Amino acid sequence: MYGGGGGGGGFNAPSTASGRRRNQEDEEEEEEEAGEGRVLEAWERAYADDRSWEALQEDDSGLLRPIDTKTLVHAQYRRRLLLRSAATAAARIQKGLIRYLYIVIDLSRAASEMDYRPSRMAVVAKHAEAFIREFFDQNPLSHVGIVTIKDGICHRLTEIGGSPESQIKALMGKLECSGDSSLQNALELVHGYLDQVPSYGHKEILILYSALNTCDPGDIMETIEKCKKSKIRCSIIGLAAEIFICKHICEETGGSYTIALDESHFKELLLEHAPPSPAIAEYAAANLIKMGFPQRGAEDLISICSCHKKIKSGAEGYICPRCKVNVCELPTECRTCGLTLVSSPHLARSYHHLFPVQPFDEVSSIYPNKLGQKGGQKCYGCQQSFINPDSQSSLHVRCPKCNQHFCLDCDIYIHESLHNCPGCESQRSSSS
Amino acid sequence: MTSKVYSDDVSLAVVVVDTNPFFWASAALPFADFFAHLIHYVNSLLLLNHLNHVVVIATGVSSCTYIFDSSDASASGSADVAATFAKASRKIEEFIAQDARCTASNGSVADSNSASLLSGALSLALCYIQRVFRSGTRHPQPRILCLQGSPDGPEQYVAVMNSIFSAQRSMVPIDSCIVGAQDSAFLQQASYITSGVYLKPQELSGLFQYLAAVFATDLHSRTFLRLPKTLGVDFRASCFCHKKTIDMGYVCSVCLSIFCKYHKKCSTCGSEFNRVMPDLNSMPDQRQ
Amino acid sequence: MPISWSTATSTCSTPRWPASCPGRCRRSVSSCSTRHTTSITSALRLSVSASASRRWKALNETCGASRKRLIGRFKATDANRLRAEYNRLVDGLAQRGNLPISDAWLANPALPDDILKEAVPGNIRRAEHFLAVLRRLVRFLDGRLETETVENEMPVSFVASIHSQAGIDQKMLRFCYDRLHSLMLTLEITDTDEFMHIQTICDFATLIGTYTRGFSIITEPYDERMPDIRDPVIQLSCHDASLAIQPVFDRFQTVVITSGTLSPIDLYPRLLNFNPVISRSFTMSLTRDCICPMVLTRGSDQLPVSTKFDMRSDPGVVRNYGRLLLEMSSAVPDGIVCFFVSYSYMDGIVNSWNEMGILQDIMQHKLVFIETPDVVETTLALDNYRKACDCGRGAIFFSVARGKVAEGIDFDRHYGRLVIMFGVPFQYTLSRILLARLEYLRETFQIKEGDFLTFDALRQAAQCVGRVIRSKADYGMMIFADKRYSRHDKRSKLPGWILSHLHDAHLNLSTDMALHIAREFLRRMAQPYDKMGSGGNKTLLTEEDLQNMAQDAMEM
Repeated sequence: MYGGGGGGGGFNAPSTASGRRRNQEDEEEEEEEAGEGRVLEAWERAYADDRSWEALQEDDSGLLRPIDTKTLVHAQYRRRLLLRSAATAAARIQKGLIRYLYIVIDLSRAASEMDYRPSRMAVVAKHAEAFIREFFDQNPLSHVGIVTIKDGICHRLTEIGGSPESQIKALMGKLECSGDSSLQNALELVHGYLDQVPSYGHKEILILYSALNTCDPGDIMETIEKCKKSKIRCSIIGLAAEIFICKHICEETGGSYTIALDESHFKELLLEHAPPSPAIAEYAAANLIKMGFPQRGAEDLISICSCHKKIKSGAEGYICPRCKVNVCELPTECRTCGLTLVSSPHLARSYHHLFPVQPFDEVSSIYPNKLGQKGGQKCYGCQQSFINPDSQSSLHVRCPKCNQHFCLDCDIYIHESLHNCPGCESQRSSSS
Repeated sequence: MTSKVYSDDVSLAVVVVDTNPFFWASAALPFADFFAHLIHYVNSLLLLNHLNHVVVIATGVSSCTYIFDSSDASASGSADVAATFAKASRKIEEFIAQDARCTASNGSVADSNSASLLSGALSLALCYIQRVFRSGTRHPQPRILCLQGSPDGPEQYVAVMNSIFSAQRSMVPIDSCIVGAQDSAFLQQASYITSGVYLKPQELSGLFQYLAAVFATDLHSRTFLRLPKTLGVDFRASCFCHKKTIDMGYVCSVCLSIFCKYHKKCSTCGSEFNRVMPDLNSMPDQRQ
Repeated sequence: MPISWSTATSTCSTPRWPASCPGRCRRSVSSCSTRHTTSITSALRLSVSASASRRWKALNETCGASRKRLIGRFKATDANRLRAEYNRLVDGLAQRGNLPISDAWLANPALPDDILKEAVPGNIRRAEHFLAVLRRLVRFLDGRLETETVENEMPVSFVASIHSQAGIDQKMLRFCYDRLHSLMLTLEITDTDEFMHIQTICDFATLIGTYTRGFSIITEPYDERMPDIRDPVIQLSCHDASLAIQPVFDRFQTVVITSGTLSPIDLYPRLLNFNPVISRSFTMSLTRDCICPMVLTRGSDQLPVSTKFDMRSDPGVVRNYGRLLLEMSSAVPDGIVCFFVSYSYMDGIVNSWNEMGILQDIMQHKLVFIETPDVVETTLALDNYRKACDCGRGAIFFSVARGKVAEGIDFDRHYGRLVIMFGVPFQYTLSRILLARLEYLRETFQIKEGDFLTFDALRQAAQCVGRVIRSKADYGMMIFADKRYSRHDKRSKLPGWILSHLHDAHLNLSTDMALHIAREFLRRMAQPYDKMGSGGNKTLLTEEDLQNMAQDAMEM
């Protein structure tokens, strides 16, 4: 593991950008020579990627302290949250809960650039996997498919499906980059596939674009018009720089165009597409979908499951209520009768999109303690004190409904993951 | 995850205690005995490993609060049973009294079928666990134990499911020990989804033995033990119109509300449904 | 061919900043970009150049049958007409002083104040006499063209030699234009193109008769670049820019001269001979650094790059420039504009790149379009360039520093994300006219030749790179690719709005460093732009804001 050239990545003097780049290039060469097995040690990664010496600042007495990013992060998060809730509260906009999403991955020669480590393509694949898991977590009834662009031609990597495993398996396979990239071909191909999707589903495309141009066989404006007419919402995440045509596509179809600054920012941008965005009501027809809620079979029932054609005990699978066939996992579509099979937790996962927690108000100081105001000294959720060791009262938030005070971390956790306000839940409302 | 804990067997146990007076008034086991079992259990947890951390949250009918935290400065040093007992019972008495006052002033209808605020307690527990996660790279492995007696409150369904999914995301198992008469569907689902243990002891007078045998072990050691397995969990949904369990129904594509038969308009979100879904079989839907 | 200076309406390189407002009151406010009023171009428009071939043609015409025939015919058939014409001439001169102000007065090459309001001299009142005078003048000029050496003289001596050799005095020369104009009106000659050359000669004559200072007459027997071919040219060139702007100052009450390239600002009042009432220089208020100027002095192999004459054909330099463009085309989206110092240099370097195969590599990333001296071709190229940028294919535009594109066309938003100035665009220093002008400037204003040339070159460079930014929400990068830019005396002559964004870290870059900076800059600029600004003071005002501001000012 500690190869002879390992020290090259270590103590670089970060004097010039070019100096750093040259050293990184040496490192990459060593890595390539040593074979795929060599991975940067954690301490090496800290120097090469994190540049932690830059995150320092002097405090009043001249000592070095790490930059306090907490309030910064919280401020950013609050801005995002307010934007999101403003958008939904503005009009009677519903959320698109049943989504049919195609992820388009750009495998042109620009994706083999090494400004993201180890290469743009590897980073994209890694985060796309995390995204798919998160996506199915937040949208259990949705479907995802993957399309790749290579040599100017697009191929469908996986069919659109409702479970993450098959998509992730395809992503983890060997992916190669070459040739030009073509946005028009990607849009045409996905448009063809999305036309076959049921009318109640929201059609979306997410393009992860590394290239800086597009070599199209025809007029891309016509294709954009077609997508717009079919109500396909197209979003793009760029890894390099802002391209006019991408911005145009996103503006026309109502999607969002963002550029990633670095790997962690890319991850953040990608995960922002996981929760359903406020959807225009006319984009998808409202329909009553017939669904089945299967039970587990009896222990002693032996049958062949319809998905893998293997012998399974009844207790290991579920029985379709309509055709009584054995299926292995949920949610899925019964292969025999076509009924959508879900379990109630899957539907429950999406309920929080419909009943979101209201954004909390900021409270800057705990003094003076007004009469009749509950809480104050400690966070209601985690019991952490608001007073810092240096006796400065830190920023915290307050729920407008139950008036309980929470610390910043609980605020983020409540809104991003828990979707319950502990204060409101711990109160018996007068009408149940 | 293994790099993040002190060692394999250090645990943080958050105990959610149901103190619903309406239930305890008519329960088979008196509350004082139950509380004694609980305190002994807490003490035994603390004795298993000096780094173990226990937090007790009380769930009332109108409020929830933290009762006991083993990391409080005042409780450090002495693992004195008497001191713990006294302190905790004082706190819980205060809480029950306060809760009763809240319930009275609220004026809401409350009877023996009232539910305790399970969702609130779970939310508090999860916030506390998140704080422990933030404390650094080395922290105990958390889990939640719910001692529940009151029935489930259907109005808490969404909130409880949210807590369950959040616990599943953070990999926190929710164990359940039912001290009441009927099973709790919420906690069955919770334990199933989060890979926790669900138990309804038959002999409540031996509650401590159940607690110590089943729920006291840390997560790593559980893989070596043979713990009570959950029998089939019923994941069927209830329709919004009749609250009946159904195994085939119609779901609104906009708001995901479940109906047992076809409606022209969704009662939750008001969307109009334009056409009849072509149904393959015209047989009436199977009801349970 | 009306010879006149033009009030330039070409756009400046940055939003206009008022620099001076003198004046009396009349009807309108004129605002002009100073480039054209002070640059040699405008001064040259006051100049007249007549080449030998045209001389011959003109001679033919004057002695030509057509004219004589016409006049003869008319003389025979319509003596009255000629008389009427003569009367008109006399009346016309008197009337001219009372004519309402219109742009018709621009037709006469001399300035209105200098047009003599006198009677026409006797010896050209009759058409035949006038023609004879013209013939003598043409013969004199012809004799002058046969010289073997380059001659440079002041109008005074030239006029004196005309007088001594052709017997035409100054006053007669002054009236040439009017006389010809009137004659052509009378003869109802509508096809003025045929008589273009004789008009040139009359303009020439009028100008040298009117002005004694600020002009020089240069006779060149052959073009410097082709010493074997005999191509004699007589050039009358104007060096004094104040003559050109005089009518503007006279006609308008308030004149605001704005430009993004007006540095050094104290030079302009001297050159244009006026006293500014206000002279201000403003900086741009930006919420984010939307321009990123860089000075690139060497290639990736650390060899210096320049378009200095002795280094131009060095293959290492050519390759470094080529690699710079190649790297940038792979890192910058949409449109890139490249400016070269001259057409010949652009031709040569593009050829070399083609031979080295660099051009093919570049074309894999972006399409390439080139400006040519032909207007139609260039317009077509520009059109296709814009189409390529719009549809995402990306394009590069090769242009020349003093060409039409550099002075007129904007490459804002995605049409210009990067502009590369290859070298320092010095003027062709062996041109006689330039030398004459430099001498004039040195004698009159004590401006050193080197300073003026540098200042002019850098102003041209700034003009070129300024094509890329047109609004505060726009962003773009600029690369000055020549080692001479890193010297302080050159760099300090760049306008303030560029210098304020030129950080020390962006000086003296090599290709890979520039690439790295470019990538970072593009990523940063692609983040959503908060128009409000961080401090809450708006930097992009709406009409409402302006009205509020005006109201506040009035209340105060």
